[in-house]
Amino acid sequence: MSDFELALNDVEFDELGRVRITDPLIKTKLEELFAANSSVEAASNSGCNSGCGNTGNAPTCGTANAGCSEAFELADLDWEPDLGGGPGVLVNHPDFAKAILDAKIARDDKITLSLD
Amino acid sequence: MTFSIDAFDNKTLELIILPTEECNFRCTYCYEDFAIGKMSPKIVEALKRFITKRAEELSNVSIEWFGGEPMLEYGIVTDVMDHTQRLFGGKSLNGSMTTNASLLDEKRFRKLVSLGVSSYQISLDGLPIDHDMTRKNRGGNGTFDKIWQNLTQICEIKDLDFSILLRVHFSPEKLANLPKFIVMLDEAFGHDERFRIFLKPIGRYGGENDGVIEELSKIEEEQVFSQLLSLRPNIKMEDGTRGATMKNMPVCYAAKANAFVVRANGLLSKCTVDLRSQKNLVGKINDNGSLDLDVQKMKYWLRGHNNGKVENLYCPAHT
Repeated sequence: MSDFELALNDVEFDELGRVRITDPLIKTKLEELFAANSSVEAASNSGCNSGCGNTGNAPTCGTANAGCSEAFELADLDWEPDLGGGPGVLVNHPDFAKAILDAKIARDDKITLSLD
Repeated sequence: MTFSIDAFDNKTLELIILPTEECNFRCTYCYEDFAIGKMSPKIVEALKRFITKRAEELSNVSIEWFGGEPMLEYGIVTDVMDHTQRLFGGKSLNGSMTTNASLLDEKRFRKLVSLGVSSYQISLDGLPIDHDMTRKNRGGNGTFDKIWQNLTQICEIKDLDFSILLRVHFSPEKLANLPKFIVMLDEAFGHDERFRIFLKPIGRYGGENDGVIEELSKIEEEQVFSQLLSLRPNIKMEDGTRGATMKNMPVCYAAKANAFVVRANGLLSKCTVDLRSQKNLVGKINDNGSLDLDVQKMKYWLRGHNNGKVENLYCPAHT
């Protein structure tokens, strides 16, 4: 399984077709990401040649996405990351990758602690 | 650019509505079977109730009218758009339509644009002699002249903001006249930035006509596009060849959690092409406007987000 997995097991739909993510940690991370999305978008359109989120390259601008290169390193992309500058792909978005990774680490830590 | 994280955002809703699955055309390469007729008043009301229930929390709504030929049920289109526009006020409401344009006269077009349906995709198969070979009406007659009349009348409208994507289909037997047709389009619409060309090769998308469809190779498709581009028309030409789309894989609406195809019979699907597949029947809309969704089937369409395969996000139906 990829580190990017959305953990679709945790996704449900309510009676109006709305996404309901049952894992509270992933839900919180996604909500944070939705809130930050506008600034991420602005950064990606600000002329950064590294193509934050667009090409899969780690951004170097250090503005909205500080830490992205680390996220990419952790994520260990196993496919060609250059998507030719087309519309971004969720799993290729460094903030999302890091958010999910953080959530999973936090969740796993919690499980480990409870087992201990 | 929009990140596909939006695919899970409950503030966004993308509906592709088929007000009828009947069509007044019988294009020789069409993949649809026209088995389901128009949307019943009960389904229309259910759809409006669904939109009403979701309206308050939504900030971006996209309604794409598809079919069949959606203009056959112009009354349903205007009813639902009027309802939605009243609910949304100043919020972002993007209306669009894929239509053969045979019924898109100026009066109806003005009304639709006023209701927020401002983007159109209209198909043409080449010069009249080529177009009428494949895009026939139900009676077997050619359709070019009526479409062209409507398009040129729409082009004369100067007080409206809209966009029209002229989807130009090409296939091996029609290549010879294609440069002439691009020149014809350029002369008619090249001065108007609201019009663009989208060059799309005919393909096999399922259905009874697949056996008689001739396809070009990917390389041949690219050569055709390059040749047409060398004509340097004023009108903007977009590349819809397989090679181009593979380079720039967008996330398909079918791979988004917040996108639904509303069939004319009230069933819900994810894909507008894979219409006969059971896996594409993901639920139904109830009379009270709620949805019954098969979560496991939904997750099948969303699997690209889980497995990281770009191709599953680009086309979850055929990968």
